[in-house]
Amino acid sequence: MKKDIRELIREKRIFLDGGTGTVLQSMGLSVGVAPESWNLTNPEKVEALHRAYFEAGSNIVCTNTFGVNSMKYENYEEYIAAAISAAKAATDGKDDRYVAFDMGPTGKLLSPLGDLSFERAVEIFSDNARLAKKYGADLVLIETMNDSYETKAALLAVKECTDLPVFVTNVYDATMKTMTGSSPEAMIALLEGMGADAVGMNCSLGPDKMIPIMERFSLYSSLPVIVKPNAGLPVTRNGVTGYDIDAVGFAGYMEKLCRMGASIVGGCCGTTPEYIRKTAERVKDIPFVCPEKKNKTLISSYTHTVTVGDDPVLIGERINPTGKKKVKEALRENDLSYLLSEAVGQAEKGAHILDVNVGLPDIDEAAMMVSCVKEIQAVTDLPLQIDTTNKEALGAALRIYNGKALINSVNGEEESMKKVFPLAKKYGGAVIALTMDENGIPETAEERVAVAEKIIAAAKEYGIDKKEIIVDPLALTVSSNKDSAKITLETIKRLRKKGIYTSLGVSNISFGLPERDKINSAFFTEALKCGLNMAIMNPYSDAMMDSYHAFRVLEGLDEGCRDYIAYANSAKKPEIATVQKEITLRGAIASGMVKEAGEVAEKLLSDTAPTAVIDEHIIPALSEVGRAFEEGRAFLPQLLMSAESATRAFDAVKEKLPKGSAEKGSVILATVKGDIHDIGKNIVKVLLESYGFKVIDLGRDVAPEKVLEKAKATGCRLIGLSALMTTTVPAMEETIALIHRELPEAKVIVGGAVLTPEYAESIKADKYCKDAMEAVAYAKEFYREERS
Amino acid sequence: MNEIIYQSIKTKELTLDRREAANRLRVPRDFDMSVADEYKTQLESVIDCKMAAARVPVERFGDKMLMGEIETDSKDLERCLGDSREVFIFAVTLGSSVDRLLLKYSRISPAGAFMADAVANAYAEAAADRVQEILDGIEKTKNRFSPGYGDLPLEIQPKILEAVNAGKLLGVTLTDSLLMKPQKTITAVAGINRE
Repeated sequence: MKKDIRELIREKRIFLDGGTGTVLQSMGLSVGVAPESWNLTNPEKVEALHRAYFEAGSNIVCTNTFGVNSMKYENYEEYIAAAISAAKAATDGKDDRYVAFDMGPTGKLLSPLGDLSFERAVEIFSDNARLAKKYGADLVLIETMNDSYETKAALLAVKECTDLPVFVTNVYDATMKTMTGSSPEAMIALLEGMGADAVGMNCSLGPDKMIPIMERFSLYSSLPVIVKPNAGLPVTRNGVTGYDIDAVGFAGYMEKLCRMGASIVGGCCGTTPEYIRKTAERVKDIPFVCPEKKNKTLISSYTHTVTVGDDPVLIGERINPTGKKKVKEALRENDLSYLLSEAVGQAEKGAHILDVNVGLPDIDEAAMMVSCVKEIQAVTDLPLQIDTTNKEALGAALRIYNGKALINSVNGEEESMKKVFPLAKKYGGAVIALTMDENGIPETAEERVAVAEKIIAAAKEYGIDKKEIIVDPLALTVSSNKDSAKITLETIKRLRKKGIYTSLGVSNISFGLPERDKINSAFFTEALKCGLNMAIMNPYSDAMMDSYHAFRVLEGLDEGCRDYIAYANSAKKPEIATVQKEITLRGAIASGMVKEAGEVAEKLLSDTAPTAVIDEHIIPALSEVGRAFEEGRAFLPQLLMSAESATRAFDAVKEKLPKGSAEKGSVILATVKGDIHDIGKNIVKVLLESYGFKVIDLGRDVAPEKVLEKAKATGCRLIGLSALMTTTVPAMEETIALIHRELPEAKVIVGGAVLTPEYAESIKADKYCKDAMEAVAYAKEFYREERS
Repeated sequence: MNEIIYQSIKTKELTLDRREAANRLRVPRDFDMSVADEYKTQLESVIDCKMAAARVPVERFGDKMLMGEIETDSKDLERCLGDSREVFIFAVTLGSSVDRLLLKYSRISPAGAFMADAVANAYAEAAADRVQEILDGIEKTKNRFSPGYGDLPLEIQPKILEAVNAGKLLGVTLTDSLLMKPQKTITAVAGINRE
């Protein structure tokens, strides 16, 4: 009987096949003709190719389906059925010959960088995965993936649609990163977390250049490592393109890779059955070593990992509505810009991971969590901690998160574990475990450790390893129990002894006390000294950051005190407040000093009425710059910087005014469907906002129906559309027609590089704006008329 | 199979043309561009420039031209190629980290987004210039011509990318509306001078 390949890869070295397209070309496939077409037209040749690999020593051959998917071919099932059938025929019914269904990339880039949505990608891969199962492939090989997000979509699809074993390989370049910037460790964390059976690298590089990448895999991967290099680099000899490493040279490098721990080996572009034969002969005497389990706790983003261990990890706590009025407001109004500035700000301050909590009683938490996670990942590459008690929100966030997240949190209650662990298992993720259960928070360290151990044991039942559980021993305020810090510190020590990692929401310790930072930072240092591995904290707090940097220096974690010196030097910069006296709000806006404008406005508001700040400072300054722009004395960069400064000042004013009273009216803005350029739209946005208009920004690639839906929901009747491509102007026309049909009273203004006044008229726009200032003028006019 | 010239280009090999940058920023040539310095520095730290080019013959049949496997009836391109019997087709990209940086600014600072985009466009042009310098080392080229200009439609983009294997070598993909991703990517055709 055929052995499950998952067992076999832990018993012996496995050989994959080599190139497909290049070999088929040598068999007569014309250049420019898709290799998969031969599944239907020359199945016997495809079978012969597979048989040649089996005879050369391959244990697994990959079906000729690299470029087949439901987006490209309507009859993709026919291609897949034929491809699997040809590969199976080549096994001649032998139990030691396996057929891997080959799954390549879609050829489209996923959003936010491209236009293919994550769920659409999952659908496309699911179509293939179901057929791989239906037609009897033994496993799936997801290969030549350039993008971690697409890799995740493919793996998720295979896992959701089949029970087949699944191997995954990514393409790394000479800098040891994938095309979209992922390190090997980041891919390992993501793929192991989601339950791939083997991981590795293929294509792009020759075997020699894969050696340093293999080094990193052998340090981090607990799974068998796949190495499938090209036959070196492409070269042209006598007008014929080939590769610069021959079969013997290839085998030499493969021997080295096998000695480093590669245990599933084959070739990619330019390799032939001869390469596999030579490799198999060369490495037959090298003893097989099953990869050992690496006890590393990794959290990852789409670029890099954070390793939990001796060096403390800082988790920024600022994206959380609890006790933060601004965050609450931003969430209620679906205005993510404030949250994004918090994300960028915390990253700049030195946070390693960002906590994301959007729990408010009156919002759709799952939907909000998804948009926050997506948007935050658009502005920072830090890994995220998904912080929610809502199962739906947790599941949705983990699904679309690009990386392996940290989950905050589970506790010892049966209900909580039932909710969190299946999701952690499915999507991968390390989990913060709170030491509390049905009986509340234990009062002694001993009991808290017992709860932690109970949770770790329960996680194991779900197939989640101990290393993925990070225990939060809970800090309760010392203001209500004088011993509470001591209990927490003792718990940390005990957990540390047992090899269990810990994380702590540090600032809870001082709840109810004045000058909390003083207590928090001292407690933080003590906790670190007891062995705390991670802290949820405020990276803007100087006292906390001082504690962190000083601890690292004193514990020998900061080589040459480099981080401390950089930190100390950056903290030395002159205070803006001392310079500020000289700057007026008008001056700050006119010269585009964004940060200063906000600060000066706040100061001014202490003795000036908010409306006076608007009328006597902000608007005159803007008008001055606007006039200079129109007269050709100032230019777009200056206009934009001024507008951004004015917006910052406006934000300060708005806080002092009754909600909504400062707003002159709202404008919906969108870049039309199919168009993902949004520079122009964003320029209009910042100018409108600087003049006090509320902008409802629908983003880019927006379907006509979505614009209509928003106009209906908000009552806003002024809509601005932008298009930059000739190919997307029809979508603009369609949107205008829909709006005019459904909301005859609404006005649509348009702009964008390819538009002219005549063209705008022909697509029935109400107004063509040649630049952002014209849009502002039109909006003023529109609301003046509406009021009168 | 066409020979494909594929290589990385170091950022320091790219020379930003002051006039190009000023045009993109919509400022006069003598404008103090230090306002964009911050974005320039950040871009330089993330640009990962790669090129791929293929040398193919040009055949003319009545109204149509065949460049390798690519057929076109573009008059503007034909004029640009003049009497060339061969062309280089090329694609050059600044890489997807540039897109990440632009995406970040689009979310947090419209002024930053505008300036970073403008400087990135100027760098993309610099990259295309550098590609032509490299190609000139093989055969002297004429002015380049890109899809989307004149009567050479964007619809030709898939064929151009295929001709230089840009998907696999450079990671360049197309959206449904034929925009290239990474977005700071240029494709072009440059005629080879006849001796």
